[in-house]
Amino acid sequence: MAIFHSFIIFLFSFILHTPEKEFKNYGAHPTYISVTQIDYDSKDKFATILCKAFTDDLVLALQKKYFRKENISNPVDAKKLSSEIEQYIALHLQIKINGERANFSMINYKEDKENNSVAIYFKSGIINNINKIEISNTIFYELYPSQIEIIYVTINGNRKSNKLRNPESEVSFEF
Amino acid sequence: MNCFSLFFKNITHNYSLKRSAAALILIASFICNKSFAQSRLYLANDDHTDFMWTASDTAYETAFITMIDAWMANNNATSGNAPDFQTKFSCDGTYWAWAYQKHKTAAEFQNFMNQVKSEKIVIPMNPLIITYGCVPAEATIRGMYYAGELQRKYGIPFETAIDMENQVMPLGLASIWAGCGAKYSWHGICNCATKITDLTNDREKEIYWYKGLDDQKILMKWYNLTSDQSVGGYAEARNPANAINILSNKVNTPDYNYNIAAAFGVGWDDFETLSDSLVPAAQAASNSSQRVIVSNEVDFFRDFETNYGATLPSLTQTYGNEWELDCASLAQVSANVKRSLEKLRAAEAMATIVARTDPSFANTLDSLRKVAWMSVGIYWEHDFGGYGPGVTNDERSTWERRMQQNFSDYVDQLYTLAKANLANQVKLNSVNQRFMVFNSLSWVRTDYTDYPYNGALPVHIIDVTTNTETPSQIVTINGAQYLRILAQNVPSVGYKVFEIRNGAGASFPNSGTVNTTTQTIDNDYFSIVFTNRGVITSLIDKTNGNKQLANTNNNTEYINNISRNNTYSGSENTFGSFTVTNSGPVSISVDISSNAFIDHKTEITVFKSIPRIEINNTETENFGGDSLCTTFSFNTSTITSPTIWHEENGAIINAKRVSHGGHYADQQARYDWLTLNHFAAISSNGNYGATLSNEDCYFMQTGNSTPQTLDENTARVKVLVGGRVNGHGMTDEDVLFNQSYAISSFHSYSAPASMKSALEHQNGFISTQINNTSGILPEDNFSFMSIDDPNTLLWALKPSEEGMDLQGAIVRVWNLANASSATNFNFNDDVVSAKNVTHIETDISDASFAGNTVNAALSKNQMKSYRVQLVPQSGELLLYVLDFNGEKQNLSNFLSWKENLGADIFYFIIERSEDGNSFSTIDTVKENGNIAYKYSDNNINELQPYFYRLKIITKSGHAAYSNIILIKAENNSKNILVYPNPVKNQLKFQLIAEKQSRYNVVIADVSGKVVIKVSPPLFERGNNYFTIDTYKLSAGTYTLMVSNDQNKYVRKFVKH
Repeated sequence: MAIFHSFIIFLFSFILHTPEKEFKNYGAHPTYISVTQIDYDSKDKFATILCKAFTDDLVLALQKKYFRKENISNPVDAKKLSSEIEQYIALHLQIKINGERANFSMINYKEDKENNSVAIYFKSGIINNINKIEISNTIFYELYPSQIEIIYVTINGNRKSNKLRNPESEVSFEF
Repeated sequence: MNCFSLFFKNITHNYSLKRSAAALILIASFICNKSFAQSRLYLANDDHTDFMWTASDTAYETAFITMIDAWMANNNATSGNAPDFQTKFSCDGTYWAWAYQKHKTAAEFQNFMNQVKSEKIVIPMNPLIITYGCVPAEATIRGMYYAGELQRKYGIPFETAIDMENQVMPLGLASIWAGCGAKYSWHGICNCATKITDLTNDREKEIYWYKGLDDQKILMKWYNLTSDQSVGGYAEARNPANAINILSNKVNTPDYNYNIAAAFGVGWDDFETLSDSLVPAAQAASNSSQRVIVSNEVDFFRDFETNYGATLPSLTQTYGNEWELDCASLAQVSANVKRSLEKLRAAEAMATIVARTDPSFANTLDSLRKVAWMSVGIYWEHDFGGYGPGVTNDERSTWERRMQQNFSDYVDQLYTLAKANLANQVKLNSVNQRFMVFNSLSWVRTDYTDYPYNGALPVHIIDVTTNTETPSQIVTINGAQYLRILAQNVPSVGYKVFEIRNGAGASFPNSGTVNTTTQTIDNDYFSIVFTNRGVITSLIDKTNGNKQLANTNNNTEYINNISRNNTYSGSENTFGSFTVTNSGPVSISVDISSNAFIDHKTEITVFKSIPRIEINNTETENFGGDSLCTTFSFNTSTITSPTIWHEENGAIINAKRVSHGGHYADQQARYDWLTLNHFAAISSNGNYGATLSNEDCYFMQTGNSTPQTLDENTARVKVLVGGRVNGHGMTDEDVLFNQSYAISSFHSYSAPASMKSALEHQNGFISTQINNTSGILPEDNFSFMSIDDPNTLLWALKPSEEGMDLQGAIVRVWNLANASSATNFNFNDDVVSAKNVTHIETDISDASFAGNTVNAALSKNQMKSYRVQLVPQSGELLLYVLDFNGEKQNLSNFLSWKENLGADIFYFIIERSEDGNSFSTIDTVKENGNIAYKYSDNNINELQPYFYRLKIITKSGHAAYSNIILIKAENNSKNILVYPNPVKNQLKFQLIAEKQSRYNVVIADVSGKVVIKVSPPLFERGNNYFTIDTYKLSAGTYTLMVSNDQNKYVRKFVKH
């Protein structure tokens, strides 16, 4: 129940934090941005990752990597698409916790048509504590020279954030 | 260039290619018939400040400094060029100078001001880019006070003011800007995040006098939209060659029959704009037919005004609200700004009276005051609801909360200090407990007041002036006991004293009755039927022939109908209950508690001798992504042809389109959410109707209006309590929302009457105990000033920014009649000097005065400001103590004072208070034959502000009080912001840390027992955001403590 509760809050808070790309000048001058949110509470013993990307950016990235174009909302092969998304993100988002490479597996992904975005959810194995987290993020760097990655890490309520601009790819936080 | 080549140019370069060949021939013949001079095309640099869009607030402050330095260098480097080709730059607001002044030396700032004075750099009067449609008039003015300060100190002309990028603009801003001394403005839009569909059509006029209802005007350039990064957009000269091309095609055409045109703005959404692209473009495009000038904007306007000002047409209309609406997404914080602004009215009025005899009054608040003006000015910055690529929603929301707190903190401290000192100046001449009732408004009025009282009962209340008993009753509000009295005929900007006497006194009839079966409240004025969820389903107006005011035709609406989004429901009584409370000779209330749509309480109160109904709604639940509304639907049989007048920024306007006799533009406007300020008056074509007074909310929808259509035929307003109606905006985390409304009726609509009714509701009397037997103000009643013309209302009365003793008081009035007014302001003492001043307090000219009267002349609908100095008063006073001062020194509060020569003083009692009301003795100091005294209070909490006063006991046993001073809390206490408060599940705080360090974070209950302790987080230098789960805490008051070895922050909060 606790897991369910925090997951709902997690989802909810993210929906409200959607980058509103259409807000300004999307057509004229798009802002290339993705958001990665890592949350951990020592009570839960696991961490979650939420990656939020614009649908068209994700489609393009997958197309370039896997040489086929999928429709996110109505995929021809949903299973294949799911594993492609997981692979793509896993390749471009690598995380070390307390100096050790951490393993995350994808739970699911969800499209938000209104905001032209996709939210992708990951969960870690058991983690007893987080003192230091190192993140390497290159999502869509192969597509856009002006890509920006916004990263939030919340550990036991303490939220830190940073921004990476292509080609910067690494950031670490201590708690 | 000959006529043929011009004709040819028009054909080949006409960018829009809209015109027919026939039209082109007409243009060519027109041009050929006219011999004209070389055209003048002005291009201006700016950055367009998208504050907190691409980076944090602190990054922008740094960017402002970088840009100012870069442009001073650019300007110096090109100073050898011909004047047309020297670089110039326009900052977008005074916050640029604010940041520069904060971070640079005085000499560097002077250097910058020299460039501003020489107009190489121009700063508009606005603080940043603001969504002005929803901003209250007084907040708009205070936000420009820093411009006033620079104007007086450095001689800066401040001729421009701008509102930018947002697709709309209010009508009354023209009056406010002109009243502040501005002359020129330009506007360019984004055509993004918009629900207006016709923005790419030609505008009604492209350059015009933007004229207010008072006929004051601003020369406005607002060109047809090409794109956001071209002419008509907010970065018109981003591509200078393209802009020059468009302008050279624009001049001397039938649609733009002027020889002078301009394209302003380069920076667009960029974080910084450091280098110039205009000089080479201007040099390349200047020739015998056109002069292309690198401009500072004002040069264009002056040129244009000289040549065309006399014949230029005007526009007087509003375009509604668009990005303004985002401030409703942080509803309670925005409401707090509005409440503080109203509280400021009384705080400053009291401060003015106090400062008459205490010129150093509140001088410890000077720095807070300046921050408060800037903070309230930039609260509605235009990226309020934006989620820029460099800022998170949380960061923006925290910043907005800080701006609100900066403003409210100042107002609260001024209010408390002024109230305490004013009470201390009133002479107590009785052994019984007495209190003063202060009226901050400029007319004599009768209203209720609640005086905190814990003494023995029963008691009765005597009006000391008339020596008669006045109706009173005991009421309980939030668990505390008050004496509610009917204070009758309290003087304008003044007070009346009342006395509490033991015993029951005379018996007054009850103010009304409640029939609990039919759920009907009856009093002298109204008969009200209410439901168990707080809806008023019938509202009979007894003083107007028993007319029904509520819409009873449609059982889904009525009055005070709280709903989420557009969901209405009937009048069902299932989801709630009610109790009758506080029934007595002054008032009677019904308290309703309901969980329909949202957990809420509604309190409906009616009064004796006060012809209004007060409705207070309190919601105790966050409404998430929904919008929360309260509908007031009036009766279509009594209001047959609805007209809704309402207060927008600086103007009372009619919610109809211009073509239908109202003030809303017929095109390129947004109509779904109109500004709701102090009131909306719903009448049957100016005849019978009701005034809805609104204390907290910002927007309303009339009838079934949509973004594209204005419903002008429905007597209904839906008030927006809060929410993300544009689909973006803040994540609102608050769990407690309050709104206070009042309804009163009228035979025929009048703006002054509706405004007075609303101001009375929103400016309750202030009552506080008096206990100084040596007070210098009269023991019974007092009026500081009054205004002869009943339609001209005092809008602000304050000590001038430079101080009451040096520059007198500022008197701002608003003539709300649609006719000019020649009137007098009457003061309680002789006037020695009177000036006409701008709203931002810069002198314009002498005003006429004689004796104790200032003669004022106001245009119809005009707001106007005066500076008035009264004859000095301090020599007449019997003061035992001089120069009573206090300051914080290390961990002590250090007090000093001098005894007045000749005084027969035995000893001083030092009294201290945390709230400015209840003082307790902390020590006694004997008179020792010296003149100067010092005292150090070592037992303090450095995060707590303290009020001090001296009680002087004379050798003959007489007691008197000194003035009351305030010693502020430590400045670094501002480094923590705790929200939401009250809280339900998650408490957050933002901490600005001076260095990286681990902090202890604990929550303790009222007994001091630690109930939550988290493992100490590592905080970085700068901003830190922290969240604590609070859902396990039981309801009550708690203390959050955040500390490291150097700093300790303590904040109280309430768990709901």
